[in-house]
Amino acid sequence: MNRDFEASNHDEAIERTLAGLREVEVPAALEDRVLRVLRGVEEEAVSDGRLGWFAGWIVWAGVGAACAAMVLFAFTSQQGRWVSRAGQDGAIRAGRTAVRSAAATLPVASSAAEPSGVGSEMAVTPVEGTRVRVESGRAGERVRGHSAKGSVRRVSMPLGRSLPLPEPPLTEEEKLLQRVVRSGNQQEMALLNPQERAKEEASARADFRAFAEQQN
Amino acid sequence: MITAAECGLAATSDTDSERESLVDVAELVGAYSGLLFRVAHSVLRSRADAEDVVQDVFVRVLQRRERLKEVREMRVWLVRIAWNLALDRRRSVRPEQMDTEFAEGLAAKTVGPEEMLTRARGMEAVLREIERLPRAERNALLLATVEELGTGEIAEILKKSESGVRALVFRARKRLRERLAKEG
Repeated sequence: MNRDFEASNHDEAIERTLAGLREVEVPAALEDRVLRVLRGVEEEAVSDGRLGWFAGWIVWAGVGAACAAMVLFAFTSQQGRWVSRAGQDGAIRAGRTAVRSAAATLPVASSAAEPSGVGSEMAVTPVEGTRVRVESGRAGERVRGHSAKGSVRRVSMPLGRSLPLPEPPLTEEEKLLQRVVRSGNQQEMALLNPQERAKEEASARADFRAFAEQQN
Repeated sequence: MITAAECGLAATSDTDSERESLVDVAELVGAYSGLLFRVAHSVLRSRADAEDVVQDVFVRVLQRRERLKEVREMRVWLVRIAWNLALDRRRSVRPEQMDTEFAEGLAAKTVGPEEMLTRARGMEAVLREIERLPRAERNALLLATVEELGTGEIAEILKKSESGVRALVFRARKRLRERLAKEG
């Protein structure tokens, strides 16, 4: 009897417990909470997608800008090289012209056989020669300097950061001209003039002939 | 109660198919959240944890919404997700810790304060013995407590035959009675 009572008590406890589990009340705000969470998840996914798109757009824009900058840099540096070379060529041409004009305007250099009267002129000519040389040098420098400045300005205008190219080395002919002008030797400078050089050679030949006839 | 439209679920989608699937998910929340809560609660005996499980179920569904059309039996599919999530959570949350509170709350609804403690202790003992049952029997018994689920659905969730489920529930009840009688 007591065992039956206990058994029925256990059955009752089991049924009550299972019924308690079965009839548990669902929270009223459960659906709201879940829907809010789903909205948050969805918004996050959308924003992630947008962010991903935006990040991709930024990356591609950066790549495009970098390519454009490289092309622009290559173009401007090439242009600067052309401008610089043109300026240098102009400077060299101007320098050559100045040297030639200086040589042309020099007093005729006398040969060793010329009378001392000419030599007295020669005593004056070093001063003039020096002046001419300086002028020619200044002219060359001025022209060259101006051209270089112009080339720098022209190069620096498009990008503002290109540097002018260094001047090309002088040719052998230019070096010879420079050496002769700087030495101040009037005879050598005079020989730069082809007419004077022809006269000098004709005079030397005439002297040699006269000397040979005297010997005979 | 907020609707799916108020939630912005429909407005945030880009394509019609996505919008439809979002509406579907919102409809599923309305239709199955109670059932899933009871399934999770039968395992965990904690309202807060059961709510978390329901939420996780629908988040997973939303993340796999493109597969919704492939699901044949939505109700069983959702219960199986909730069941597995609840079992996973059970490893970190010991249901025995919640049993005292749950049993006292349950007893307080039906009887006065004098009988409440005795009845709560009896329920607590039942819950403790349920936890000690073999796993297959315990699972079948707990799922059978959820009224909305038929034997066929339980069989599908547990991947057993219907007769197997009936046998498991019968054996679980019998074993429970015997153990409670032995305890006295």
